[in-house]
Amino acid sequence: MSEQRRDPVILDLAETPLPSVPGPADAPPVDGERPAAERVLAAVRRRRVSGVARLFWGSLGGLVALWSVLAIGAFVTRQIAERPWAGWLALGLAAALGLAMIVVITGELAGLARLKRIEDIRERARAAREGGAPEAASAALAGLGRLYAARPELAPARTRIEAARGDTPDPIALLGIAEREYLAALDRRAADRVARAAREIAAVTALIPMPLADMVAVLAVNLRMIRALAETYGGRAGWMGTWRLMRAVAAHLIATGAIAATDDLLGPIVGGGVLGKVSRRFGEAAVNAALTARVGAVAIQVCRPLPFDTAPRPKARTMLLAALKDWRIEPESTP
Amino acid sequence: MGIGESAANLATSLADGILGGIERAGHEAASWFEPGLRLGVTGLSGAGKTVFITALVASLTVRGRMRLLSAEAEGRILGAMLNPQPDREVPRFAYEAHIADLAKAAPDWPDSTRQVSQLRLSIRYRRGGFLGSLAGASTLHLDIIDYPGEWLLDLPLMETDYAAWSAEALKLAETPARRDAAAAWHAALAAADPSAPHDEPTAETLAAAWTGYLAASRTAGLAALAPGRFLMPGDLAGSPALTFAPLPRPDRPAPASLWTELEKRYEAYKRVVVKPFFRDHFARLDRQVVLVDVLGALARGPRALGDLTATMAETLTCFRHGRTGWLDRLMGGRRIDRLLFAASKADHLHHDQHPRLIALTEAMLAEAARRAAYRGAEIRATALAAVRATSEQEITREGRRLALVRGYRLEDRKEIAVFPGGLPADPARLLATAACAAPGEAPPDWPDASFASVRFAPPRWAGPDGGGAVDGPPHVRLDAALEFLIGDRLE
Repeated sequence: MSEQRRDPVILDLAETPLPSVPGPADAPPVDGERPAAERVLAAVRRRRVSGVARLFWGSLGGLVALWSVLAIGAFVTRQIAERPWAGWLALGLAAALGLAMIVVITGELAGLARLKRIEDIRERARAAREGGAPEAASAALAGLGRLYAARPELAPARTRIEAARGDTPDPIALLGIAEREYLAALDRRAADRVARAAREIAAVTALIPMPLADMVAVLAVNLRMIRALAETYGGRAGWMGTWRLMRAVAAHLIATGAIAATDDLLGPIVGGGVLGKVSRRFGEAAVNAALTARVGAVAIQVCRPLPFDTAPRPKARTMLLAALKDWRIEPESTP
Repeated sequence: MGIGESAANLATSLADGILGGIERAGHEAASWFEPGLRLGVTGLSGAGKTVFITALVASLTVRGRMRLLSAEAEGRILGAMLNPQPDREVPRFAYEAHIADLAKAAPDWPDSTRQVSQLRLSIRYRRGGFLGSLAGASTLHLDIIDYPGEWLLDLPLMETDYAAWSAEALKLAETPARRDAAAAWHAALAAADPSAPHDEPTAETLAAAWTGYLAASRTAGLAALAPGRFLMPGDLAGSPALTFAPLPRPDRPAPASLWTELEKRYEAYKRVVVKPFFRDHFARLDRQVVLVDVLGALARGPRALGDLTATMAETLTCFRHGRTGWLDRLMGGRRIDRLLFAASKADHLHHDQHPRLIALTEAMLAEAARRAAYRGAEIRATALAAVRATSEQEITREGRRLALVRGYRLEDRKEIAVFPGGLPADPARLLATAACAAPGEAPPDWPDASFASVRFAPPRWAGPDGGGAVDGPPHVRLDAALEFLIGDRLE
């Protein structure tokens, strides 16, 4: 017998006191509660556009598309009749436009499909861990393998997982191994990217004097960060995909209270740190950077193909401190 | 009384009759649009059926702890309440009494069930997805039956005749696991002559001895205790249908012999007791949860575990599992299309051993699972505690990490911390020990392990009407179980 025999133990707490723990009614759920953010994410994903709204947007879009195609067609035929050279040029341009649109749409659709695949993997992995369903874990693993098959930098991780497959019969445990092997490096890269975005935001807020302009800049930097995170974890998302991710992130933030969370982040940085004392401007920069770090932390959760389990979840606070540590030196060293 | 008056009376009663009829028809029609879902809570005596049903109702009425029920997480459940049940002749499940037991200041587990009872819980919810935004709220009626677990043991009798059942039961009574419990029975059997003419005192003596043997077996922790009404007679106590016992078949049973009479009574028992019970309560289930007290059986030893495994396998053959086809639906027939095997009382074990407990449960019920899967039913195994009585704690003891559960012992309400024993990674080893060459020939104790079972008192928790009424009773995976059992009908 390979396992060690473990006999029952019954302790009378009147004789052997133990540190007190919360009673059953207050104890945390045994499987760990699904974080509030993830629950919201599930709800957001399920929420579909309502029937009437879908009808409205669908028919409006179809009408506009039809109108523009017909208008361009009419314009081209008229020009061919009146000024053949302009007509043929217009036809060529229209063809080029059509081709470009096809390429763009295919790219966007591919991006959306990739996001869907990542969502599926994450859903399966979650189901596997919550329900202890090994077949879902195997499916998630296969999906993960396909997702990262074309990434040469992950080839060593792939071989290590294949090596572990032999002596890990439990697919759920194997999923944990896969998380560590595939995603540890990607997590680091993603955290770096978030820190960089936070730094950029801080710089932008500190340097751009106009209130509206810095908001636009913040939005742009955040969008770029989300896009980059999606690329890190699962390839290009496309603009539609990025927009969807952005929505999910926003829903997340609303649900989990971004502002409240930043409040407690800011205490040590703005209040106790040098930044707030140097200038109000820098204080604002720190606020925006903190928000960006928070957005980044959420975006990582949204883009990552597996929920955090064996690997540690990157903390907004850590990423923010990493960002500001590098950056803080600059204003201090320049008098 | 004048003619006018009686005519008026007649008119009134006619009008009442017609209006009543219309109202009934309306209810009938409504039941078409608001379908009921019959949830079968299956389990032997002591598996935790009553607590499961009580906790289910309490948790769906006050849904603070239903985190994994999607419809609740998405905020689509508007409310749930108890409604009059469809079968008016069945007693109502005493939910209020049971929840009062659980929610009072010094909580107690509900009493063991002595008769069939029924309950209808109606859940108002908004549909998810495309239709949800267009349609209004929908209602799901959840019909649940509670019954004494002993009666479940009768279901396999439906397919067995007296001679076959007697042979089987007598053989089982001679196995080492039961020999002690059956001593008095064997004495009574030796005194009786199956081919002698029937006389009532002998039959009564035999029935009483058989009942005594069943009760002794139950005390020893065994599960195969048919016929179930002998231990929990309900309203049939003392009737001839309950006055029989297995007898060896004489070579040529005479028409008026004891054997022939008891055979008739056995058939009457099947006809009067078993078949109506099955037809009324089990033939039309949509979903089934099979509660098995695996930890309790483990603690009682290999014989109890082997007995439980065999009994559950036999019992589960009686249910109609599989996908409900359009033809079934048209004919009014139903099949159980989702089946959940649940190791109950999972709060007696720290959650890091739950995967092993689930694996053991799956292995115990593997045969039933394979058969149901073949017929197209969805199957899952889990470990749950409908009401969680313990919290978890990890300590280091003699240099080793020990994952404990702690709670109050039921007997003396003293706080204790328990490690019930280490479950093996491979459940096949336990089951191989439990199911030796013949049933009941397993060793009385585990050769290489031991397990303890403690009865914990229910937790103190602010009841549904007490202070802090935001949450239902604490549980372990009850929400995940309900998501599997009814979640798809709340989509």
